[in-house]
Amino acid sequence: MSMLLILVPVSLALLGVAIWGFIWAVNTGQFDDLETPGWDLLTDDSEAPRADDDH
Amino acid sequence: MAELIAGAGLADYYRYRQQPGNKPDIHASDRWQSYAQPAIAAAFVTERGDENTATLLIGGLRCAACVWLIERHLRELPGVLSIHVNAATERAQVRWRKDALTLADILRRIADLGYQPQPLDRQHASDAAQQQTQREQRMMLKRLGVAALGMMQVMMYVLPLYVRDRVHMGDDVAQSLAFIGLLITTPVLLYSGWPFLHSAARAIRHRHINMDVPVALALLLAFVASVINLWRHQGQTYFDSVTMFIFLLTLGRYVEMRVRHRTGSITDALSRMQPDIAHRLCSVIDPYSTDDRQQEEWLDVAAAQLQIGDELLVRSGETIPADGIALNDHSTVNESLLTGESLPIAKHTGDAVMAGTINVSSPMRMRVTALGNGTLLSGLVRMMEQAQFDKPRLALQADRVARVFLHVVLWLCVLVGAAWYAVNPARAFDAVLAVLVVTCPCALSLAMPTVIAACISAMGRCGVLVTRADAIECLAQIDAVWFDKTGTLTKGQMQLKDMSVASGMTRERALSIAAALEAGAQHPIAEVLRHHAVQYAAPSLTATDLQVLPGRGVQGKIAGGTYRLGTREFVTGTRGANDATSDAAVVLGRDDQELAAFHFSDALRTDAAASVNELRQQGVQVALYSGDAEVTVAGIADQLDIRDRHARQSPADKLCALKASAQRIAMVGDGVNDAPVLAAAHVSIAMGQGTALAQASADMLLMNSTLHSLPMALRLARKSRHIMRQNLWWAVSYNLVAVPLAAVGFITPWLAALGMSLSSVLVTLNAARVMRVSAEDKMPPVQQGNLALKAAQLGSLQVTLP
Repeated sequence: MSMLLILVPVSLALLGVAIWGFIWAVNTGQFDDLETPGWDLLTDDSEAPRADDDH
Repeated sequence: MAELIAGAGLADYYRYRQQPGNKPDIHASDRWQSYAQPAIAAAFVTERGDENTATLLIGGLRCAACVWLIERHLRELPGVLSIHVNAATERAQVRWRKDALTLADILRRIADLGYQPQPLDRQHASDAAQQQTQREQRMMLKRLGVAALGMMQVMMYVLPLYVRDRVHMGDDVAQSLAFIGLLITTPVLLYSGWPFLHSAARAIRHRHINMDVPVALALLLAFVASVINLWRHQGQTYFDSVTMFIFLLTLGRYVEMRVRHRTGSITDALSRMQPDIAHRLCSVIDPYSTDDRQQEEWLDVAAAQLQIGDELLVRSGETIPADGIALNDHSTVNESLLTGESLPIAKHTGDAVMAGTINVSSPMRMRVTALGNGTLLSGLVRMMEQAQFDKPRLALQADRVARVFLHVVLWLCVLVGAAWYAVNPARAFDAVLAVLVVTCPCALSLAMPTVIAACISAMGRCGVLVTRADAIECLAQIDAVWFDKTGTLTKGQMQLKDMSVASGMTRERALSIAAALEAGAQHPIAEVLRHHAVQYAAPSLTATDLQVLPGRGVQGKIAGGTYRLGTREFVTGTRGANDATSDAAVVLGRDDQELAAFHFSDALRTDAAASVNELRQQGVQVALYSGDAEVTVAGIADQLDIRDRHARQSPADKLCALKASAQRIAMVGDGVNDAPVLAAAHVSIAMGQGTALAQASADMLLMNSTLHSLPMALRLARKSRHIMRQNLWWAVSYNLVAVPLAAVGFITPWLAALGMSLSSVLVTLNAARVMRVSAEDKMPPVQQGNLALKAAQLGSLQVTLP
């Protein structure tokens, strides 16, 4: 049972990280446009990805 | 599926590649050239170091692969640093090196692909309303995410407590688990639950009750009760119920909000209709001329820099940039966007012209009388926005039921508490809590949003896009449908219906002559004539000495003879008996002799008759309100057997008629002239291929302009309303049974929480029944992709449930 003393705080910390990550994602606009990235899959393979694209 | 879209996209690409050859290109390249001037470009371009950035509106983004096409081809331009097209907002952001390219090059490149780019001026690009919407959506999404994560964690920790007696759990372990539940629930309640608490507090302060009051009460009570029970080491804790309740409610609200929000498309639609560049008259004194006469020069200026009193030149085919007065006699203007009138109108000196209309036949000089917000066009938009704001909201059924219900519940709690306190104070608290929890505002709150979400999804699959959630219930209650004519019941294109030729003349020759006379004209009738001449393989002729007399016709010499094409009076000098009121008969003649007559009409949509009949079978009255002439309106109305018909209706006329009527009316339209009426009707439906402004102001959109979706949408709306009522009945009757039991003490809070969850599930499953759509009503998969694109563009959430 003493393991709980370690495991529980660890899992709570993980929860905190998850929440922080989610909030960061929303704030940086990851969820704003859910349609367009789906069509980026149609890009031809032969096209070399350019370094300065910020999708 | 991806191959299908790519295939469609590539096919479109090749189609567009073949198109540019047809248009006169000199004018087109002139158009972009103006943007190369630094004074004009400065309004649209932001400079940072040696990089330029601009935001563009891109028109014509219809296929899902268009984004890929534009981005790919623009990247190939040397000097372009990045391009990102957002299909949902139809905007593109481009970054390029200042010395390598100009804005004009980029616009030209996009136009070459077949799309219509339009740069947004810098203030407009960062739209306040759009940012506000985005902020709200993000906020709610964050709350939803936190509630979801919290709920799952709390459930996990608190689960063992359900069986604590069975496993003989030690008190300290149980305490610890419950305490962790508290730790997680507190931030969830305060952050995700904040909207409910805040709204309830505000309602109570203003002394009335809204849907959030029992929610907030239940949450707080359950939370506080759990804390107290935790502290005194006995009794039940409800942290998992609290978090789950918050999560479910926030989910419902989020879906509702997404449907409600439209992402600034009205202002964008307006931008599209007005040109950025005008040709202004500048008097220049030529230093080398011998006399002091001033020379005239036309300078390109940004439309934003125009002033009242400026003299402008509008070339043929261009859009008029501001309201004004025509200064010459020979032009005709296409005002269909504003008035619905399908044929161009002749403008003489002193006639008023409006911003947003198109100058058709010859260059026109005009003096500006109103700009920007003072134009008729923006007045229409304001009228529309005001009408939307004032729109009488039908008191929704659920709201009324809820209000009564809530009052009863709260008073009941007080009674129960008092009664128990008198009898056995120890159990008073548990009893009140049980009552409150069992009354399940949960099922009541979920009853509506789930059905609405399901209905929106079902309608989406049948080709109807819903942008305002309340519209579904409104649609279910309508008594009548009023149709616009041009573009709604008809295809909006002139077609040659009939042709009669005098003896001695053949059809082919008549068409050749007519086409020769109309060569190069941009009149819709001219295009139809030319098209038919080609179809009949009529030999092409050339006419010389062409003279255009606006409002009357055109005259020219062909092989020695002088021919006239136009109104009967112009061609023969007489007025025909049945032509007096018809405005769509064009006569060809020579030397006052009629040689042929062409009759045009706007073709009815193939599914119009069937749809109108089906609507009537569903018990709805059908009427026709149009801006066009009596004869044409009567023709269409007779074909569809519509008795209630009105012609020559201006937008104001239609609005008056709408307000005067006591019925609940659904308006179906497509043009800008319909926009204020669309905003004022109980339900407004726009055609998916109509003007952007009509689409932005309508509650529902018929994708691909299929009229037969309308009776089907009505059926779905009625079914949804039926199911919403079922849900409400369920919520009420469940309470009628459960509350007395809880009040008397037979239901422990634990059982109450279980009942709450089951209720919610039942309500949701019932809502799903709406989505059972018969196979024949469904749309094919490729069109589904376009529906999603359109939905995203209009900012509504398409919930794609299986």
